[in-house]
Amino acid sequence: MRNVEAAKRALDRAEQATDEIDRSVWLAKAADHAISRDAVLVGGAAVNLHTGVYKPTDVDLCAHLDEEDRTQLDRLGFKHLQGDHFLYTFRDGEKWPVEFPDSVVDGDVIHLSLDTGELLLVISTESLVLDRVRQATDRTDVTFNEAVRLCRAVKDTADWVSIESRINEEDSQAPLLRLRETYEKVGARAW
Amino acid sequence: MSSVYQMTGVSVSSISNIETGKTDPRMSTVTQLLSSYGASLRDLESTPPLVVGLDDIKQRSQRAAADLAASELGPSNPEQRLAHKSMRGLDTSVERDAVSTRR
Repeated sequence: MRNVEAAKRALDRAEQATDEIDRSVWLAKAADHAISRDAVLVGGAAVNLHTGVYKPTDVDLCAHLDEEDRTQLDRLGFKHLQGDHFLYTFRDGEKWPVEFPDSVVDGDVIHLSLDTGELLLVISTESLVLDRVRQATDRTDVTFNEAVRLCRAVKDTADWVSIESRINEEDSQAPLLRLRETYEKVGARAW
Repeated sequence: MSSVYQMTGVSVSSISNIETGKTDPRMSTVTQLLSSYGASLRDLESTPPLVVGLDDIKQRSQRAAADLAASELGPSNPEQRLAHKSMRGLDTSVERDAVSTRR
């Protein structure tokens, strides 16, 4: 539900943020308020919520945008670059790209409760782990180490039974991706 | 009960039998009842998302960050990630410029 005044308040909170997690979360909430549908925080900013060591290069959100959404985002200071890519520049000079790569999130979501009582949808830990293990099937050190970091960071909080079940299901549907094998290698390093 | 019949189109005796467990309703009856209340089978399956406080998740991530910093993994390197993205043919110029402005 669009609420421009709430979006402005969220941007003020992002301006005052003293760490990257707060800044990315409030920027995401501002974008969420600016558009007509609920946005879901995904990607690196979501990983950073769980690991604290990710240093996201942008804020990725899942939501379908229409022309009015793009106009409202632009009016609020999200400079429209191309497609559904925007750039927000803070008063202290920090620049944060904000992108809407997909209209629907691939997986489950949680509600992140903010100190104002507002909620922000965030991809669940389990879906995020699956996403990063899928990326690690490209067999590069970069994606492998990112998957290891996330798995290690959430080892005590994630629902591993659910993750394994989903890994097994996807692996049986697309065995050539070797998702299960990648997951086992990531797990062996993470734990 | 009769107003429920008017609303759902399912007979009073059928609803009574379902409520008391005397009969198992057919799927078409369940769908009909749900539809009368503006709901669908999907609504029965979905559970509300888990609610987690930002402060709680930040406390957890601080512990995770300390653990990762002490491990051989260390923190994630945005430069390496952007180089990997470039290798896949994606334009990273906006992200590179943005990262250079971070405190």
